[in-house]
This record gives sequence, structure tokens and C-alpha cells, in this order.
Amino acid sequence: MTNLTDELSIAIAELDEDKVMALVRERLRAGVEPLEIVKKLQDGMTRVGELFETGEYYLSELINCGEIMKGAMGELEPSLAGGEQKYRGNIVIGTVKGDIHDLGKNIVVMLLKGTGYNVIDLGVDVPPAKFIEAVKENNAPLLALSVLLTSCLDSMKEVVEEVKKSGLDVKVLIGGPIIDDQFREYCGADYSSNIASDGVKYAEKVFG
Amino acid sequence: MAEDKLKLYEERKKRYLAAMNLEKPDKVPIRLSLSEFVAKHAGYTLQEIYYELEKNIDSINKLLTDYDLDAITGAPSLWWASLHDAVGAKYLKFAGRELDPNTQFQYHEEAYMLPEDYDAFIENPTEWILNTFLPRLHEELSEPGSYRANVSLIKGAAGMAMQQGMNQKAWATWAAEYGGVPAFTAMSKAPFDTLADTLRGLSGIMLDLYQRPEKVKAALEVLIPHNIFYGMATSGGEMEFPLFMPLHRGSFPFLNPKQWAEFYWPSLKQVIEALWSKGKRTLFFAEGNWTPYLESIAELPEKSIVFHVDMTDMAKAKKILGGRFCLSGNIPNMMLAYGKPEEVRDYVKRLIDEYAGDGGFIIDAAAVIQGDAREENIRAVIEAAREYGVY
Amino acid sequence: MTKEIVSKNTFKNLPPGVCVPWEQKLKEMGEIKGDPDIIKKEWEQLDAFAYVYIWWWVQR
Repeated sequence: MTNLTDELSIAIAELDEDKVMALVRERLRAGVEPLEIVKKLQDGMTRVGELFETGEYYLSELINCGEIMKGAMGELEPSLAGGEQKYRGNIVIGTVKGDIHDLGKNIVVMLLKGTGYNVIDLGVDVPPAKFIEAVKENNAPLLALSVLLTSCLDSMKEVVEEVKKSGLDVKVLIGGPIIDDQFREYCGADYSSNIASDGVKYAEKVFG
Repeated sequence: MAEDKLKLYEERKKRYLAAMNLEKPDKVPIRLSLSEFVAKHAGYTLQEIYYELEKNIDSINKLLTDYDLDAITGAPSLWWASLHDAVGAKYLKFAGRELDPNTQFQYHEEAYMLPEDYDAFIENPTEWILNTFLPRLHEELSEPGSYRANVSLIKGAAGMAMQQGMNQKAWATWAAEYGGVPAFTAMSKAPFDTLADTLRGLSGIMLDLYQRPEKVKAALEVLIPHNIFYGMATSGGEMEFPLFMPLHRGSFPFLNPKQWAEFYWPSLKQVIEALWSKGKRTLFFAEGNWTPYLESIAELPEKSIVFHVDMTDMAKAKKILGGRFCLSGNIPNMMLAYGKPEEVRDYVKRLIDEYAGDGGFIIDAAAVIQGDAREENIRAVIEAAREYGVY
Repeated sequence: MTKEIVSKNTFKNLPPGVCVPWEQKLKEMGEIKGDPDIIKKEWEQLDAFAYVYIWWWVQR
């Protein structure tokens, strides 16, 4: 578990919105590198993901944290422009064709972005070709597929098959509340999960 | 009503009601929450059943001809897509229009209610819904007072009456010609879900819990009598069968235990208790996992609900709620779609062996059965339930 | 989100099932020559239908 020492990281982890905003402004004024501030925010976010995993935090805390993060990033944006943000890697994500649900996907995106990944979010109802195109274009080592409806599972299988056929060097993570190991095997994906915070865990695996 | 069908209706009804009253019927009742599967079975596309009321209703005739079910949930599509088009409702997306003709309908959640709407909502929700919410939700109503807006109000209300009338007639036919028994005869929601599903949306409500908890509480308080009334109004005076309550945001892990106890549970409990005091039982359709909340749910009056198990731990549900409420559900929908009939049979047998022994149990899938379920697996559920489910 | 539609409520704290309260309508009707209970009952029945239609879009 991450051990936080920075005040800003702790404020994010404790969902103290006022304190987060005050600290971000204060540090910007004091001339702290914006990217350094982002890093501290990400550390706090990582901790929030861990707290979700251990059952101390629930979705309400995750979503709230995402909103605080959004506010903080909005404050930082003008100073970040021009500076070269270093990402830990590119990840393509989307909800598979036939399904327009995005609650789960959005939480995964928020956690991945919050922990420093460049996330290419293709949205919902995404056809297989679009996933493949985006993986190629961004040279992404990880593709994450989301689904809620059991009736769209075959659509997920189709994407995995197309990806494997294309010969792209990309790991496929499938996620959704109904996804289990049996289904992962059935559709031939590399990783599977029904827990939102696992997105970050598998990303660590892929990007080391 | 044909004599034999009447007899069948009475037999099934007795069986179904006995289980809900925690008695031992002659057999474990089968109530399958079938939706899009019914269309597939009858050979209709999803566009047809969403758009054409006659086909939506007719598909049940075929179902009742082919399958021996003790209770049915009614026409596969709750919503009439044509009516949604007539008002320009943005909340649902239907097959044949935004989606391929055989794709399951879907919700498109948005915060149609904004944080600054709370006060007007609390003051008079009915007026606020009509004047502020519906013009945001219904494209045809986006300029209230305009010709298009006025027409859409006529079409919407007339459409609801037409749909209700046809459904009523259909139920009479299903009972008389097929011995078809309704699984429920009314609908309502948990006040928190009313606020979280259609009004504020998930992200909206989650932020409100942190930023304006008092407003949320006041809104929930206002909703309680409305949700009780809505349940009684949709029952049309029918009191033997339960009221359908699909429960959403109270499942684990949306809210932390403190939020659940503070925001979700008190208002829901009041609605269920009030309905029960009027003689209406609630089909507590607990979508997702409710394991952490079973102890609280056990506080409800005996027999006041049927607790439906989706992903809740079945053994714990039986331990904590068994003998107090009838239990139903738990056959995994993934298995119905991707499993083999033998697996399904084994699962049903195990459910009956472990949970149906002393009565108070109803066979059903974990969640609503959509178009991906296989015919042979649905047949396996019914056959196994009849084979092993005789008391 | 489409354009902002801000409205002031005409009524406050209405009980469920009521859109336009009978008490209000009664005042506006003036003298009733026959049985007011018949008119009230029918008014309230249609008022409740309108209520259910409005809430139908929320209770789903």
C-alpha cells in the first residue's frame, strides 16, 4: 500500500476538496512545477484506488475523487499547456459494440488517467475495427474492453478475436460486472476483471 | 374462460402465492423474468416488439403455449418505442432506430436534474417534473407551449392509456386461454433510485451526497409518499400479487455503509412498510450484490417482501432472510446464455435441494432474461424444477 | 443539456396523485348547481391520471 507523506496527496486520498484546491493554487503561486503537482495528485489517486480495492472506499468515494481530480486538473491546465507531460503509457479503452453503458468504463478511465496513463477513450458502442485502428495509431500495448449486457458478450469476443488475428502486440483486458475467468477463456482475452480498480493493477503488469 | 385453463390458473396462482406466504406449495413455483428472450422465441425482432404493441403482446401467447410457467412478468418490452419517439424521449435507445434491429434497448443516463433544481423539486416535484424535467428529457417538448410541445403531450398521455388498455386486455386473455398468472401487478421504486436513476444520474447523486447531503435527504423525504402512491396507483386495486421494485443503487459497492444506512435504506424501508400496511407485498428485485445489507433488510415485516437474489450470496440470504421472506432467483444469466443444459439442471437441482426444502422459494434467473439465453437452457430450468421441485 | 427552463411552481406541497387540487378548481367554478361530490370525484380521477403520466417518466 502506498505510503503518503505529501499534504496534497493525502488531501486527495481523504477527498478533502477544499484543501486540494487550496494546495494546488498555493503551490502554483509558489512556483512549484505543475507536473510535480500532478504527480502528487496521482499518488493520492493511486491510494484511493487501493482503498477501493481493500473495501474501505466504495464507488461513491471513487466518483467523488474523480470530480475533485477534474477540478484540480482544470486549475492546472493553463500552466500545463506547452509543458511536455510524461505518460506511463498509452491505453485504448471503450465499451464494445451493441452496448452504450459507460459508468464502469468511466471509472476505470478516471483511475488510469489519475495514475498517469494516457487513455484513449473511444466511448461506447465501439465496433471492432475502430479498436484495432486506435491500437495501431497509438501503438498501445494495452486494450481495455468494457461491457455490461450479457447479450453483448459475443461482441466482446469478436473484438478479441479480431485483435489476435491482426497480429498486433497488445494485451487485452476485458471488464464488466458479469465478467469471470470462464468468459475470459471463452473469448481469449489476456486479463479479466469485474472490479474497477483492477484496471490500474493490470496496467502496472503491462507497463511494469 | 375454458374450464381446464381456469383450473390451471388457479393451481398456479395457489402455488405462487403459497411460496410468497412462506408455505409449502405442491411444487416449487417457477417464475421466469423473461424479457427479450420471449421475442426471440416467438420469432420477432426486437424492433418489432419494442415498436409494435400487438407483437410485444402476441409473443407471450407463444411462450405460454410452449412453456409451463407458474408466473410470468408480462409482455417482454416494458416500454413502447413509438411512444418514446412521439415525445422525443432521450432516456432510452431502441432497436431499429439508434441500435441494430436485434439489439437490447439501453438506458442513456444523464443528469436531467441539476443541482440548482433541488429546491423547486422539493417544493412541488410533480410540477417541476412537468415544467422543467420533461422539456429537457423530451425533444418534442423542448419549447413548452409550442405547437410541437402541445402535440407531444397529447400523444404521450394517450399513448400511455393505449398501452395500459392493451396490456390489461392481454392479461385477461393470458389468464383465460393459457392459465397465465402475473408475477406482479404494480411498480414502484426506492426513493433514492428515483432520484439517482432518471433525475440526477449516478455521478450527480454521488457528488450530491458530499456537496449537498441535506438537499438529498429533503428530496428523499418528499419522494416517500409519491413512491407509495405510485405503487398503489399502478396496482389498480389488485392486492394479491406483489409490486415490482427493481432496486439499483443500493447494491454493493455503490454507497459506503454509512451512506447506505443514512440515504438509501430509511426511505426505502418506509415505502415498503407503507405498501405492506395497505396489503401490498413488494418483490424486492435486488439487482447486483446486496450481501452486506441483509441484516438491515431482515428488519422489514415478515412476508412483506420476496427477496430476489441476483449476485447476493445465496447461502447468507437464506441464513439471514430465510423463514422470514420468500426467496427467488439466483440462476446465473451467464449460464443460461453460455452454459450447457446439464449445468443448468444441476444448478436448479442444487438450488432446490439447498434452499427450497421448507417452502418459501421461487425458481427464477438471477437477472432479467434477455435475448442471449438459449432455448435449451430455459427448457432445462423448467424441466429440472418440475422434476426435483415436488414437495 | 438543452436550454435552461426555469419555472416557478404554481402550487406547493401538493399530496401525491394531485396536479391541480380540487379546492383550487372549486373556487374557480363558482356556484355548483348539482352534486359537487360527483364533480370532485371525476376531477380527481382525471387529475390522478395526469399525475401518473408525469411520474411515469421518472419512476423507471
